[in-house]
Amino acid sequence: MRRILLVDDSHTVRMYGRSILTSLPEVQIEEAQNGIEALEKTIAQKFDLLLVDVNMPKMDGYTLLRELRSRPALWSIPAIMVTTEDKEEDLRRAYAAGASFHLSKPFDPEFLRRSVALLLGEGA
Amino acid sequence: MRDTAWLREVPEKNRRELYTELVEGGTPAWQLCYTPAADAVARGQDPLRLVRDLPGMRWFALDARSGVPDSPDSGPSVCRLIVNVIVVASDPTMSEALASEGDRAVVTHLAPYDLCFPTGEPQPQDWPAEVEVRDLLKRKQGLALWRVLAAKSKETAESSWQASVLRWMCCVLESVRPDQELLEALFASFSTAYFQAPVAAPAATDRSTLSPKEPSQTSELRGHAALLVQAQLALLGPVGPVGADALWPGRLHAAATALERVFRAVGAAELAAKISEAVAAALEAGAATPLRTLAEEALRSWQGVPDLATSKFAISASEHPAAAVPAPARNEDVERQALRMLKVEPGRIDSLLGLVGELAVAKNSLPFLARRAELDFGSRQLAREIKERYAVINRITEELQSAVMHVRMMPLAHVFRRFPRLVRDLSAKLGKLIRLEIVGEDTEADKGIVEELFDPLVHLFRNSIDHGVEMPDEREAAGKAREGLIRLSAQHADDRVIIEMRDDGHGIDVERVRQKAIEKGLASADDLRQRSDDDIIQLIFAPGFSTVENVSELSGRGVGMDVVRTMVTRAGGTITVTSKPQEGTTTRITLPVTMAVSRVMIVEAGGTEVGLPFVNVRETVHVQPGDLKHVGQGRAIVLRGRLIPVWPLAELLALPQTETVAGEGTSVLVLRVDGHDLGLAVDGFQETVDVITKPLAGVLGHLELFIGTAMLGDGRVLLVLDPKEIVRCL
Repeated sequence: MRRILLVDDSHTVRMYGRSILTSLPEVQIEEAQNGIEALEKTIAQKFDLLLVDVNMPKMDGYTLLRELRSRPALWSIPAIMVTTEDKEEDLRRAYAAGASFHLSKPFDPEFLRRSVALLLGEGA
Repeated sequence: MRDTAWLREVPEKNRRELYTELVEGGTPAWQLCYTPAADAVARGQDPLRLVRDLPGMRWFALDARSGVPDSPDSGPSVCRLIVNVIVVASDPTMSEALASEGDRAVVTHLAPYDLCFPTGEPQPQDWPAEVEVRDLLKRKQGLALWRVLAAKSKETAESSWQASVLRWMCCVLESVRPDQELLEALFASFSTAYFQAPVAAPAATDRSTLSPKEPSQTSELRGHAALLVQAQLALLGPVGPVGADALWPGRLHAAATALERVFRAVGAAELAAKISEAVAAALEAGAATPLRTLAEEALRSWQGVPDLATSKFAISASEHPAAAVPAPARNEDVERQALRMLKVEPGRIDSLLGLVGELAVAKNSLPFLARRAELDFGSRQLAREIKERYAVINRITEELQSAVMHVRMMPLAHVFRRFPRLVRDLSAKLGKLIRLEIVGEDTEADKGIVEELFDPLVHLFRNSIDHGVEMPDEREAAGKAREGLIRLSAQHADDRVIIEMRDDGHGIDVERVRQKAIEKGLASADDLRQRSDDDIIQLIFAPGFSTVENVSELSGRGVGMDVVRTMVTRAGGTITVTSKPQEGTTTRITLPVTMAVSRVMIVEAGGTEVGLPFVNVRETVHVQPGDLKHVGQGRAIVLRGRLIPVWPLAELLALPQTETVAGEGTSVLVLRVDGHDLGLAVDGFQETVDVITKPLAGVLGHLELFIGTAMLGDGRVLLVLDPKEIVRCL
């Protein structure tokens, strides 16, 4: 069973993400509303992949990624950054902070599903 | 015609491997049935060798054919072979050697299904956990199914039919997209011990047609995987050692995990296995290179995937903005080229160049040795031999030198490609319409030169855009196209590279330059009025000269053309400007192609030897005493109708002047400096040599009169004069 953490302050987006990813086999999906909550969850429980929104209250996506990448226990977890627009500067920031991949809203469900599958080590 | 029965001879393990290869890779497989001519061996051919050397050969089996007559002349070497071969290659014509065999080599397409069939003796055995397996199979729970099957196959006798079925099902499940129909067929064959490949199988349809270009699901997946791998390259950050980046170890581990999973997902297990090693190496080296190499290796090997562009996913991927940023390698040609390139630190090439320079100097000692052999040891024979050897070493050294120089060469495109953006941005800011034309950007020059070129060119561009090209309305009023044109061109001329920037603006206002020069007191008003327009234009290079009253944001930053000239001169070049009213301005920069080795002429003056750059030497003349005329305070010679001022070099250098023997005449070295000729009276000329001039350092560092020093073949040090500085001393 692989565990994915959806980090987004919008309930709708989390629901949307969940609906796309539940079709993947043997996947369990957890949610967090902001960076702090996500960080607390990743420290307490084991996750195989994170889907992180850029803009969130309390702690934004960049900060969350930097926190992850500076902790040896967490730094190996792949994290997909969800950006609102594709400004080159934002993307550079995302990868510098430690994003494993990025998707920009609105994203193609199949593209998300497949990116997640590949980052979990699965072909389908 | 198409006989696949022989495939039963191929061991199951090999067939499974081949099946995986075909399903995962984009390269199709071919079955080759090769029947060498009966007299092939007698004619000296080696049919087996030919088969073995086929590119992509995976397996071959031999068979004997009947009906070959034993003719008396064929003897014992008659060839009765039939060779069946499996080849994985994109091109079924395979090799020229085979092509010449014509009909004797029959190629047919081999589908993955052809390889998949269980073998072995059926055992009386029921399906273990049949219900569970059937259920998992129906629900397409690949991983869970695989676990059950793998466990069961260990409990089954290895050589049995059932074990073979289980192994095959595992094999199919391991592929990127397990073939459901094939799995069901295998499942059915477990108890019936009769295997029937699915009829409507996708592979079966293209058995007759040779269409390996069909976009497969595998290639879609690999396309997506390639995007993810490229994202990891972005995550790893720029090439080279990391500085103080606290997040780097974290990013390295994150990239490693992602790469490992993606590799596993697409079945590149061998790459996935190398990850941990690469991480260790990267941590040790403090640079992500080992991991990068793995990622790049993957991207490279996936390029073999049939035509990514035709697959449905690839289109959606390229539309997807994600492809834009983490995909520096998106352009496959660039990628491929980059992979073929070798990246070398400039310092290494420079040290190589230094060594070549030392060698060039060291070899120059041989002529001295030859002279000694002749004069001191009286062996003319030995002297001649040394000279002969010297000629050979000299030639090789020259070639070596030019080869190393060539390594340092880079196309001007490196600098030129930065200008379209500059032109676009600046012209937009000023509301001007300007088209940039670039010609000859593949012209090559020494790396140092290319890098020196950027700043002066930026300045010239700013000048042209700001002051040269007019506003669209103004242009229209002057009867020109609304859109201005700036043309940047580069070309080689001998060992120089000429860079020209031409705009079609209103040109330089000569009267204003003249006025300004008078105001600034650059020369007397009378003098300036008499000078030609061309001469006046050159005044823009005078230090501190600027014609524009209101300093604009773009080009008036206190940096004038004098700075441009200084930069160009420092790189060993010259710069000239020509301008025509209403037609535009042309700036021409001439630079040496290479900068490291220079040719120097050695002259004698005041009992010592000094060098002068050969590029400045126009000619050497010997003038009779009467021809050295006194003109005012100085002296001059008339050379082909032109008056050339002459200064005694010894006097300029404050060296003791040698007595001139009456009636002997004087040797004059004619130099051209910045377009003007001048003569230097010297005591004598010596040879010209290739040297590496090293700038003066330490306490002598401030002596601007000298370009530097050079080591001569016999170990002496030669001071090389800077002709431009000589002119300033006059």
